[in-house]
Amino acid sequence: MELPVSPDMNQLQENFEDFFEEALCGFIIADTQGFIRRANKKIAGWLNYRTDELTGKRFSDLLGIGSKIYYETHLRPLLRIQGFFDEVVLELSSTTGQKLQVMVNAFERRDKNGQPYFIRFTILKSSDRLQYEQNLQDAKAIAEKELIKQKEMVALREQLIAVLGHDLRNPLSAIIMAADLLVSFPEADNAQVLATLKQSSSRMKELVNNIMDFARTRLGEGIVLTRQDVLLEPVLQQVVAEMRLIYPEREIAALFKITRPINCDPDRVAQLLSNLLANALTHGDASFPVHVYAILKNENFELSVVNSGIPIPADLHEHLFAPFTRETSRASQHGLGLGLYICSEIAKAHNGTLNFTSSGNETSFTFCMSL
Amino acid sequence: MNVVERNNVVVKGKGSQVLMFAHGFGCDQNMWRYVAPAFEENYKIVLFDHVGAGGSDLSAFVPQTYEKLEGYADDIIDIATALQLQDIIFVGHSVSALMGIIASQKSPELFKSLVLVSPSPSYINDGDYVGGFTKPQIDELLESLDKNHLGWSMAMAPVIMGNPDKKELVEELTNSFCRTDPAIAKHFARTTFLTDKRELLSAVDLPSLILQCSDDVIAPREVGVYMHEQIKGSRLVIMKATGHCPNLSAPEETIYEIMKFLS
Repeated sequence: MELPVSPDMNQLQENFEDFFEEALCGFIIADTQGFIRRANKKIAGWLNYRTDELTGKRFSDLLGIGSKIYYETHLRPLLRIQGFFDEVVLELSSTTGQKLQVMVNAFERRDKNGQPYFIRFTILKSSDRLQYEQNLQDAKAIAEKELIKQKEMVALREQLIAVLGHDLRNPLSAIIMAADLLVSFPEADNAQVLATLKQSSSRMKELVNNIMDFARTRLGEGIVLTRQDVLLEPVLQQVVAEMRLIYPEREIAALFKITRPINCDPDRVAQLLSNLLANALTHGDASFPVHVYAILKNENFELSVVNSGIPIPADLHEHLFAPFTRETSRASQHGLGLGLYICSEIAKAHNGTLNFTSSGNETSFTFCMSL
Repeated sequence: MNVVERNNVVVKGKGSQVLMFAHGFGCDQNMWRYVAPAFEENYKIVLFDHVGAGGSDLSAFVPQTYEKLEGYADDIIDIATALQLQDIIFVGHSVSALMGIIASQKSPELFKSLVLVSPSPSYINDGDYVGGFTKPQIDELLESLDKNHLGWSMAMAPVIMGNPDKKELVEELTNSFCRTDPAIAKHFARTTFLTDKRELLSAVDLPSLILQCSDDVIAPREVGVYMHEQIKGSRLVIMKATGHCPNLSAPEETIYEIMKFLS
């Protein structure tokens, strides 16, 4: 590179002064106590001071409160120990209270005995740079959030597949065994075998329906209702009758007092009752009946299923309506852990609630919607 | 848990009388590098880093534990117990001075006297009490902590987060003293500047020296005077040193005043 022709010495002195005042960055020279001895026009201009107004102030007086504490407790010690600090982000405060984000390098000039002499600060405006960094941080936070969501989704799907495979196997084995029996002994009295076929295939249908609904609610658009004004009693009686067929050895005591049509999706309400009943029959004490109540009370429609037996373990209460919540001790016979999740989604879709109480020797689930 | 590793405890010196140095907010035991050596000939020197600072074990940082100064004070007691220290002369800088007071009230049998360097029991002005900061200033501080505007976040992160496999790379980075994990520094700032331990002072019954700098924007002169009035029989020295860290800016004067107090 060709060097410019050097100007005479006087000119050069003049240029250094000008270089200091009109530099592209702020310059501050402070004594060892941190009091400003000289500051250039640039930094004074940024902060709305005259240059002579800065003389005598502490460097830390120019800082916003967070930066001031950072400077006094960390940077000043660092300067003393290390002799310099580089690329430190600070926030300056102008006379009008406006904040200016800057990058600061500082250097402690020491005499030949190592004693501090004065401190130099070089200050670069970096609002844009810091904004850019902030944007990167924000983008990173968004990406991380999205990643966590996707990971949860993947875990959910994997769980779904695992549980599905596991839980469909039992009723399917029962059906295959029943079919084998029918093939081997076509002439025998097959009432028991046919009941098994009915029970196991209904169980599989229930599991598949729940899976479909789960996929719709969790991975898609949610439960969609087809509402109509409907007399619910025959609908609910049908569910109870089916359950009696599947569980011929069990007693289901139903009490219905619904005197007028209810605006709801009858298929969904039937599904809700079916799920609650299936739960009560599997989890409840088989030596006591399961009770079903459907009543109108204070302009509310209430549908309850009550069973006797050991209460739901307390540790399950909090997440009872979350998908895949199952009693770990006796899991295999208990289905996917989706039934109650779907029930609560159906209740929600009706702007209703699904609540439960479980203590002593009784567990009760109640769906409640206002009319 | 190994307390020595957790707090990066360093023991030096030829004497048997224990002199324990505790660093304040924003730095680590390097804070005492110009002061502690002067006592090595006649004392047993104990230096350490608070959890989250310097060479401490960052994984030991439990936010709830260190939400209050008591959590840090318990660590001081842990160190004394693990090292079987007795008759401790405790030298605490800044917020650590208060940790020393708390520790000495929890386990009085461990301590002999207190040297409180630039201490403050509360940083916020409150009626007649001058703490140095107004409530709006502290609010601004808390806001700047929330908004990550404190320099630690960006300036320090690369140092801390630098690939631990490549130690030499970390060494090459600048600003390598007084390293602080940015998240922990923010937490510590909150703990420190929201502290109000004024009610503890009147119960201090150990011989105490208060070293107050003449121009300290973190703990102004009024705070030192207040501490002196509250702590019975304490000695107050207004130093020629300025700033918040006389242990670095005026080590000779600091050493002299501590020696005078101990003799």
